[in-house]
Amino acid sequence: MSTFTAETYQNEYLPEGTTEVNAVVTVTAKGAGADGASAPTEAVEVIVIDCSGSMDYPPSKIRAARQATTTAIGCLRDGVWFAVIAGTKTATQVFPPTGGLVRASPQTRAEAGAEVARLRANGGTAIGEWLVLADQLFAQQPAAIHHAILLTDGKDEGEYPQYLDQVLAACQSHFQCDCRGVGTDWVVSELRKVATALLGTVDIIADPAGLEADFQAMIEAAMGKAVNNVVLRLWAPQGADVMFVKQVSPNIEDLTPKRTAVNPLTADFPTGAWGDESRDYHLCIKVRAGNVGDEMLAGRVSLVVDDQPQSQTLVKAIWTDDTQLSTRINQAVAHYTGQAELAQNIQEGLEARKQGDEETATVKLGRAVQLAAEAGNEATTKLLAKVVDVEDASSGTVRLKRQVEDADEMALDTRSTKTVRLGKST
Amino acid sequence: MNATEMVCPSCAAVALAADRFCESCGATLNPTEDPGPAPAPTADPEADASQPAPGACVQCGAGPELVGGDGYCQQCGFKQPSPRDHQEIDLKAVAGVTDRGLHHRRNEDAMALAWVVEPTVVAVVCDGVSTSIDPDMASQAAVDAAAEVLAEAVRHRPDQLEQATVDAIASAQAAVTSLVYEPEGQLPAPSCTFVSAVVHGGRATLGWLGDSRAYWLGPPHPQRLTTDDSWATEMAATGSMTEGEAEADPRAHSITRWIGADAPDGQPHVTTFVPAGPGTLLLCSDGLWNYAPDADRIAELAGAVAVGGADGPDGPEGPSGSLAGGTAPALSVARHLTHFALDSGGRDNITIIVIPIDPAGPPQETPSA
Repeated sequence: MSTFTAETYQNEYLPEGTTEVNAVVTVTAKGAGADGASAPTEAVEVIVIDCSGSMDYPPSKIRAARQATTTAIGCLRDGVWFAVIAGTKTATQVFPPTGGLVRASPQTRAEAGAEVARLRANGGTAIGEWLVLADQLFAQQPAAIHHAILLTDGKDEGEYPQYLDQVLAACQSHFQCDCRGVGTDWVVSELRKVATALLGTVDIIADPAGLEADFQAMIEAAMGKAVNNVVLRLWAPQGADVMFVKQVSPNIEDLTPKRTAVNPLTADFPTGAWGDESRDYHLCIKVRAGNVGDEMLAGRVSLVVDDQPQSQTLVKAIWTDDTQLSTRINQAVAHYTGQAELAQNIQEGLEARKQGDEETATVKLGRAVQLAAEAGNEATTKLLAKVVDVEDASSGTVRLKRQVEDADEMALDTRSTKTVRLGKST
Repeated sequence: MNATEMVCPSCAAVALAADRFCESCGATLNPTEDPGPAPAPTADPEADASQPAPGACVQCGAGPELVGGDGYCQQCGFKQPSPRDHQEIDLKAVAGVTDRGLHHRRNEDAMALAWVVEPTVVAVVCDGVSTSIDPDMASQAAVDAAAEVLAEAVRHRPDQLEQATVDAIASAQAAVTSLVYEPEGQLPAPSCTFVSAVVHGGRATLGWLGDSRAYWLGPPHPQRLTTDDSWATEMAATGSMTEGEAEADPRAHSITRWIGADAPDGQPHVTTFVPAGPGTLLLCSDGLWNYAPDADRIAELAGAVAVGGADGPDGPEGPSGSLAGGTAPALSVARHLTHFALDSGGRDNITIIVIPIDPAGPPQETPSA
């Protein structure tokens, strides 16, 4: 039996006249892993492999994709429904060849491996078409946990740009999709859009040799999630505005646009499937101003699984004239505010660099270096050092590198939303 | 009448000390929640409409069904006032007031005040230690446990009131120690101060721990009857500092004795005070005495009520004598001192119990007399 616990970290004391309440809510799931479930959880895995012509240049890409897909299928739990789609300017089902889904077994895994080995690179790229077919397959097992892997090496140019947006809107909350770009000819913002809409991760695998290990990790993570469609429910008082609800750990995902109203004061934000894990959310709520001494409930956060609220935590606002209380900085809120600013500076800095605006790029990436150092975000610090020469991290003094590998720039962009956790004291 | 019984202040019927409402007349019993404005007569439709339904949100007027069990309005989110924010016990001849003050988010003080058999009064004041966990629970548990032991003693062993006071403090200690609470970081276990009085046969048996106080406002002169268990008092007692120096130190009001799981061992302070003449016994938490530590000053403030009253005969120079005659109802005195503390800043919770004593006079009037 899974249990979710939620805890609020905030400074609830506000100076008179302040109306913005910030809090970080940590949600921890226990017994939500596949081995913790009392009955085996039904799951569907669909693997979508880009088979456009460019996957043959170099041919190591399509070879690695075949190998990674076979390995991923090998990691599926017995009984999990699965299918493999080859993506070109259309979507072609590779396995099972008769269409539909099959359950994983030693026999079906071997059969699938044989079909995948025959994958050839030849055609265009139409990501929207691929997702439409995946969506149809998932619909055959509506109650199961739905997870997809999407691999591409290029830009979505085989269809109208608006078409992908329409497909994403239609697929939302039907399945989660982890997206991977192999090589450096794909577009980070495009794949990020897909991953964000479908509650998945996005990453670059610049060297095809890295695909196999990455696919294996993604399948293992997916197999470890046994609680489906977990919803973060937020009640806010009458007259309040929910400014944003963001997942901030393990990576930044703005859930605000995914809001669905439950009643005038309550809204749901989808968080997808959960295993045994812990995630942090940053909430910002604007409430009506109170008088000194007033206490208000600014938010009531609960996790809802199968329409059952699982746990609850409160976000409060207490107005005070004691500046010692109201000026206290909550470390969790400050930390994640910094991490969000870090991601924004990286993305804007890289964009400015692309546009040839070196001055803006230097300022933004310098600020990013400073924020990454402050937060102890070593992974991002390393990635930044491949794009800028750091003179002084503490003041954010940097110089743009003249020669930057595309892969390094794309890795920095893709991974800008990965956050590190604040070491929780006491 | 059983030891845990009391007299209804409205109709004088016998009621259980644990009862919240009088079985006979329905009046609210000890301790009473401030009743606020009386319900408007139904004949006055305008006043009727302006009155929110009982239990409605004090901020937005949402109905009682929308005020959640956690004390927040489910519509506007406003924290509803706790019944403990302001409570009054009015037993006519004796009275008590406890108030949240202006700066604390909740009232961590608690009090009990009851007539037990014969003209005997039992009073307890506890002040929860703000830096401990759930101090409001600690003070309430201590007050309830001690009052029960003292009421029982008055009934069965009125000649052993000092021992009963020791027992009452032990019972309070046991009650607070057994509280179930969620640990919060390094915060100490629930803790509170303690001061009690049993007024019986014209004398007052007092017990205390910490810095809640008892004062005598009467002849021969107003005086403090308790010594604080505080850093300042201990430093002054050792002679290493003058009282003024010790009081000026930031640690001055740190208490050195208290009730709670981590309380230091040792006997509580217990003493019996025999008044020289009619006057008033006052129990209070530091929410009052922080603004008026001097007994003379408190007597002056208390006397001002009598002076302000229609039939205050003694003038400003006779504060102590003016009270004992019952010139100012005890509740007026307690309210007046509460307002004084609020007007002075109200930085802490305030609790005041007022018990007039006339050792030479006839037994204290019970409300039924």
